This record gives sequence, C-alpha cells and structure tokens, in this order.
Amino acid sequence: MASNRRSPLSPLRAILNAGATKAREVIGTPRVGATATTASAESLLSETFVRRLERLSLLTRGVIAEGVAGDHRSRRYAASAEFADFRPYVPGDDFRRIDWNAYARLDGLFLKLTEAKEDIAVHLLVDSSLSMHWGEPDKLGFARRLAAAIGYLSLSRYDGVTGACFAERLYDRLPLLRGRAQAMRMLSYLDDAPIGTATHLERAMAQYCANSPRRGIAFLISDLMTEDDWQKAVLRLLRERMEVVVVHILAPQELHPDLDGEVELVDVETGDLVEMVVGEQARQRYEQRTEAWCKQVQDFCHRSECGYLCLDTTLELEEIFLNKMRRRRVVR
Amino acid sequence: MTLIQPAALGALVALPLIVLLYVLRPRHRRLVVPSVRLWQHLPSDLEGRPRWRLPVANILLVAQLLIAAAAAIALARPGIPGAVRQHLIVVLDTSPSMMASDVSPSRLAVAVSQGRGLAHQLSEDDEATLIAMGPTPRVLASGKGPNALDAAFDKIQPAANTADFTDALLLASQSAQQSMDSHNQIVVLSDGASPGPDLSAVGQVPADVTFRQIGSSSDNQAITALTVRPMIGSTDRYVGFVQMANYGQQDATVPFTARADGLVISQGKYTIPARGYKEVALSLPVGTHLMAVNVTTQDKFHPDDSAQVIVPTSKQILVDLVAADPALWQRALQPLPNVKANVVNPTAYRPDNAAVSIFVNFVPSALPAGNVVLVNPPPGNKVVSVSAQAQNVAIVHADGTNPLMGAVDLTGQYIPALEVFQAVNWAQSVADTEVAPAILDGHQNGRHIVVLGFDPAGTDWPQQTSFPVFIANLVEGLAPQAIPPDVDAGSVLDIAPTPGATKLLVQLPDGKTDVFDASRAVRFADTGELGHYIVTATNGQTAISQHEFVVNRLGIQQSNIAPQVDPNQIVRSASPNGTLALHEVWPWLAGGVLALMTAEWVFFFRRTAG
Repeated sequence: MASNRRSPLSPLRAILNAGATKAREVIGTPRVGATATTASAESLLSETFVRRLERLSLLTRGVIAEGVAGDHRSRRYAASAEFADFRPYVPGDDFRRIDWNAYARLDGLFLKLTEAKEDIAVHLLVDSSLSMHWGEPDKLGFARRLAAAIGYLSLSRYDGVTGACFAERLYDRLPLLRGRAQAMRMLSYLDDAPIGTATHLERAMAQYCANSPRRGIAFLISDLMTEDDWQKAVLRLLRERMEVVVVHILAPQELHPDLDGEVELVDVETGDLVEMVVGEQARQRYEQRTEAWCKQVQDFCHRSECGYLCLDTTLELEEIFLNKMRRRRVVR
Repeated sequence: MTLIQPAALGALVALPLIVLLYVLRPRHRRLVVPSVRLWQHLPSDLEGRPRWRLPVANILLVAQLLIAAAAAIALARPGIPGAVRQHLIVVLDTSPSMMASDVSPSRLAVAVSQGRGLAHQLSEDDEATLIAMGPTPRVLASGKGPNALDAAFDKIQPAANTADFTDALLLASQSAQQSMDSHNQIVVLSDGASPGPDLSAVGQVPADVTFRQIGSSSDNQAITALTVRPMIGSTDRYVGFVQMANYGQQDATVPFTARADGLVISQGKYTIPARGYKEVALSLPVGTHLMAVNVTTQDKFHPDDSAQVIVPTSKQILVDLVAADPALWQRALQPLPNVKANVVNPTAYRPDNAAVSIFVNFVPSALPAGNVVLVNPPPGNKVVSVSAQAQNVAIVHADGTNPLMGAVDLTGQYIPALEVFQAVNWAQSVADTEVAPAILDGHQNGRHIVVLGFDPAGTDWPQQTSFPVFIANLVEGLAPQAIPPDVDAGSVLDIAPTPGATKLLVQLPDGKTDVFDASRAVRFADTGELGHYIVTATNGQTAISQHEFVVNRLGIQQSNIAPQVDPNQIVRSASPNGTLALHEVWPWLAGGVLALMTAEWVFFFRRTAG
C-alpha cells in the first residue's frame, strides 16, 4: 500500500508507474538541448512492481568488479563465511585455512575454500538523441524509465550505478552511486538529461571509455540509429572488459508503420528526405528490412557474447523485467 | 422565383470542388521519422493506394456543401415576384381657397385625409411622393411604404397665395420620370379654384393623372379691394375705397363695418348682387393712420372678410449736396418731390445720416453711411483711382437697361475732359466713351456708389432734358426704398439696409418679432399672416426708423373659391406598365450561411478540442 509519508522512492515509483499509465504525448520535435518531459508522478499503481523489483538482482556472466564487497558471487576465492570448495593442501598454503575436521575424517590435509561476495558496477548508457524522442509511446521516455528501473534495482542491491546520456557526444556523466538513498540523484540525472541531435554512438562510447570506467555491466539503451558504426561502439565497451547488454528500443510505429500513399519522409536527425509511394508491398518490404536489421544486431551481440533485448515501447516494465530479462538471464 | 444575378449561380461549381477535396487523397504527406535509413532504396509501390476514395459521411462535408450552395444562391439574388411596383404622386392643393369649409371640416383637411388614404393602400415596395401645390410647388416627402407620407401630411399648412398648377404638374412629371420602372399615378387633390395648368408647358407626363375635386361651392362674399387716395384739393385728408364682391349664385346682404384707427367710421348693410360687386367710398378723418374694414358673412370662406390699409405719409429724402458751386445741382434737385437738399461747402462737410450724398469735385476722407454720388472725383481719392485724363471724348455707348439710364440717352454726348479710372471690380460701366468709362455704378462695403468721370458743368448736358431725368433716376435709385404700405399675402418684401442701424425688427400681426441684420438688404418672406406689420431699424436700444405695412388677401382671384379647372383636361393615362416588384430572399440565405458556418465552427472546434 502506498503510504502518505514522503520517501526517496516516491519519484522512482512515479516514474515506474508511468509505464503503466498513458504516456503524455509530446507533439512535434523538441528543440535541441531541451529537458525531456518527466513522467507523471500522479499514480502509485506500481507499488507491487517496485517491491518485485527489489527482489530481483542482475546476473553477471563472470566479470567481477573491484571494490567493496557486494551481493554477487565472485569467481575469486577470498576469506568469507560462504563455503565454496575443498582442495588438497600444497606446501605454501596458509595453515589457518586447513580444514581440520576433514583431516580427522579423511586423514588428509585439505584447504577449505570460501567464495568472495563482491558488488558490480552498472553502467546506464542512454541514447537521448532526436530519433529517440519519437514514437508513441515516446522512445526516450521509455528508455529513461527502463534505465531508472535498472538503476533502482542495482542500487537496492548495493551495486554501484553510473552511466551517461549521449547523442552527438557524451553528456555529463552520472557519478558512481551506491545504495537506495542515491535513487533520487539518479532520477534527477535522467530527468535533466538534454535531448541532443544526431546520434554518434561510437564517438560517445569512446568518450565514455576514455576515463577507464570500472568494469561492470553496461546497459546500452538506444535505437541504434547512429551516424557511425554502432558495432564499434559495442566492441569499445567490450574492450573495457564490460559485460554489455544492448537494449534496442523501437517504437511500434517503426516496427509496423501506418503509412499509406505518397509520402515525403524526413529524417528527424539529419533532415534527409525520401519520397515514395507506400502501399501494402512497400510496408511489407520495410517490415522485413526492419526485422532483418534486428536479427543482424542480435547476431552480432550473440557473436560478441553481449546480451540483446529488442523492446517495443508499448511493453510494460513489469513484463520486461519479470519475463524478457529473466528469460535472457539478465536478472534473476 | 426570379434570379436578379443568375450568372452568380456559376459559384455552384464550388460544390463538386468541395466533394473532390474529400474524394481525393492528399499528395506527398510530409512525415517525420526517426531515420530514413530503412526506407532508403526501398522500391515504391507502383500504386500505393487509389488517389481517390468514396466520400465518407461527414457532417462537415454536408455543412460545407450547404454553405456553398446557399452562398451561391444568395449571390444570384433570388426574388419572389410580387405585384407591379407603384409610384403614387399626391399633388395636394394648398392654396388659400382650400380653407373653405363647404366640405367638413375644410377642403384642405378632406384632401389630406384622401391623400393619406391613398398612400395607406400602397404596399411596402411601392413609392409615394407628396407635392404641395402652392405658389411655389415643392416636394414635401418621398419614400417607400404606406406610411412614408404620414409625417408630411401631419405638417401640411395652407399657403398664402394661389397655387401654380402648371409648376406642380411639372414637378410631379419630373418625379414620375425618375421611376419609369414603376406604374406612376399622379393624383391631384384640389378644389380647382386656382387657374388651370398650361398643359403645353407641362408636356408629356409619364403617369396616369387623376383629378379629385375637393369641394365645389362658390358661396363667398369678400372684400376684394381696399385703398386710400388723397382727397382732391387737400393735402391731409384721404378717401378710402372699398370693393365687395359676391361670388355666390344669390344676391347677398352683408353687414359692413369700417374703422379708422380702431374707431368705427361707417356701419351698415350692403346688398351685393349675385356674381357682382359693390363699391363704397369713405372719407377718413384727418390724421387717420390705419383703415380697417370687414364684412360679416355666412359664406364658406372667411379669410377675405376683412382688410386693412395704411394711410400713406409723405417722407422726405435727405440729400447732402457737397459742392463749391452747387447751383446746377440744386436746380436739378429742387423739382423732385419729397427731396430735401442740404447744400454744404466741401470745407465744412461732416458725414451725417443723409440718404444720398452728392460730392462734386470733392471726395471726403471718410464716406458717409448712406449712398454716394461722386462727380469728377479728384485724383488721389480712396474710392476710385484716377490714372489719367482724356480730352475731347464722346459717349459712345450707354446701358439702357440700368435704372440710372432710364429715359436718358447720352450717346454722342461730348465731354471736353474725362478722368480715366483704373479698373475696379465693385462697379460696372453704364456709359462708355471711346477711351474709358464715363459713369460707373456699383456697391462697395454695403454702400451704393455712382461715379461720374466728368463734371456736367463743363458740358452742355445740363441744358438737355436728360440731365434732370438722370438726377431723378439717381435719387430714386440711391434713396432707400420705402416699404410699400400694403402687400399681398405670401409675397416677398425687399427691405433696404438702414444706414446707422444694426438690427431690423419685423413685428408680425400675432406679436412675434423676426430679427435681421440691418446692415444688409433683407428679403422678408414671412408674409403669410394677414394683418399689420411693423418694421423697426435700431442701433442698440435706439430706434432709428420705423415703417409699417399690412398684408391683405385682396383680389378677385384670391376670393373666388368656385372650381375653375376642367378635370377632363387634366386626366390622362400615360404611365409605363411598370415592372414586378421582387421580394429578395438573399438576406435570409446569408443569415443561414452565417448560422451554418457558426455551427460548422463549433462542431469542428469541439471535435478538435476533444
């Protein structure tokens, strides 16, 4: 039940709620640099979802971040209370770690190995270009809500959350945050991120990686409609030994365009024009091309051992987290 | 239904155009997409979809079609044909005889009633005009609808004199000519007591003319003449002559009363034969100023039952003669009656209130208030500029139409020395020599000025009979006109400016006073009321002069109330057929268009707002 007291979670809850409520329509193309519209904070419907979110945690495939101990299992062994394995004693091992109970039962020297528990750094990389500010529901709004949900999930697990918004360049970074108390700060960052013009994904990721970010999980949330090579951008993140999850955001109007007749299509980022007659066949060819493109992205991610999520903006966050992300083993 | 502008129906072409806009799909809709990359090089459909579609049931389409259709029809100005448009021209006699009461309450009231009734039979599209047939016929009112003349009928008043039938018909004819698309009907409401029209002067009248006789009685006994004459052999006694007429078919005995300054001087009964008259001569007491007579009759017309006359008094005209050698001019002025010449030496002259001042070889620095005669004015005077002197010239032309030259022929008159004047714009020449004008006549600053460019004493003109005649003309023309002692009702009286007076007060018989500026001539036309008028010229609180006159309605014509006009002479049918009146309905259509547009706007606004 929603309580009347004001908690740091309320804005987050409101933002998460906006996924279930009707998104406010943004008419026209916003000016470059304008602050995006924040989701309405009127509804408290997603209280249940937030509670479920708090029970989830991100799954990693092996990259362990340095730093403070966290909530994730580590491949490293370290002094802790969590039993991991036994191994025969070899000269040079620490005597203190010999399991004397096993020696009594098995008459041999065995070392008791314990598992290290460490936190991970979650990188939220949100595309805020003009092409993202399109569609109904708005792709950028959807991306912000998704990033906010992932960030909150991570903060609640005491994982470090960092990241940046980008378009033609990388905008101000989100400093590494930790703990639920920092949720407001994260939301404010996402709310206040400016809307850029064209997307230069490779350039933006190169700028992000230039400062040797902590290794961790990078959620690259974008429509991948970039002026340069998005694949190089992903590879740049991988070179930083990050686990990359490509979240491909598409509006339903992109997947199934409702165009008919003679149209003059204007690229919202570049202004390029395409004149054509759109009929049933053209629509089918477009949808096939879009499907092939998504498959191409998926194949690349598979080859590069990246996670890939292709999301329609009409999807509910609850559906994404509890179904799609679980199936793709992004969360558990 | 008739269309006045059928070509405007061409605007109905807007209807299929509107439908076409709904049927055709728009070309090349511009759409913003996040990226055209996936659309590039995508083969277009040869036929994306049909360029047209069936018009969907759309309330806006229906509303727009209705608006366009109604607007096109309104532009065509449809009209519902009505009756033939009528133009009723009522010519209503306002002559004094219309005050006769042989029909109740009077001929004029009956005529007004009939005229009002005729006007009320008109429809709203018909036109009506009311012409008052008085001494000077005029249009009192004109307009559309049955009530257009009501206000004019309410205000109509009898005129002071007999009607001018010819001018009234001419005016009605002109009014009819302005509405040749109507059926014109001229209705003359008159007793026919005025002289009939000169139909040759009226010409063709584009109207049906009817004549409605109002009253027919001739029963009237009247005073038709009243005048006073000096008694033979006496300078201060007068005799009054009275003429009484009987226009009835029977002899009439009427009581008669004559008063001198209010005192009864004669009373008795006189029998006047049918269609005859009776004359009475009465000796007036010495010093009588006003004589009044009246008869007591039982006839149908009373305004002519009484009359007044003022006994004339001689009034001298004061003439200043300013000359060093005045003998010649004195001889010419002396025989003139009522002229008093005041001889003044130029060196002793001071301006005074003389009616006429004659300056011989001299011009004062300040002219007097009255009229002026300048004889041979010396060079350097302020009135006329003398530029040269001509010797041995003769008058070659004289303006015989000028009152100064009445019975005076100066052609060939030799002038040994003539002053040549520079041209002036306030005077005109009445006698010219071969080189320059000899006599100028004009008005300057409200003053009548006559200039002689030569001294008659240097010519043989004084020895000719034309000289004293010219002097008489001069004094008569320049002396202020005396107001006549009696005038006919309705006539215009010219009152000359009074020197030295600022205001001219005319007191009417009913006690009211009209005020005029005395510095200029006054045309007094408010003589419709019978009786005694007093004209006083004042300067501030000081009365400078006072005159009197009476207004009578005397005369055979004025008192004859019997019909004299033959109606058959006037009645004719010459009106154009007229066209059908059209009741235009476009204002209703325009109102419907506005209502539809408002409804469409409200519908569209609510739909887009929702």
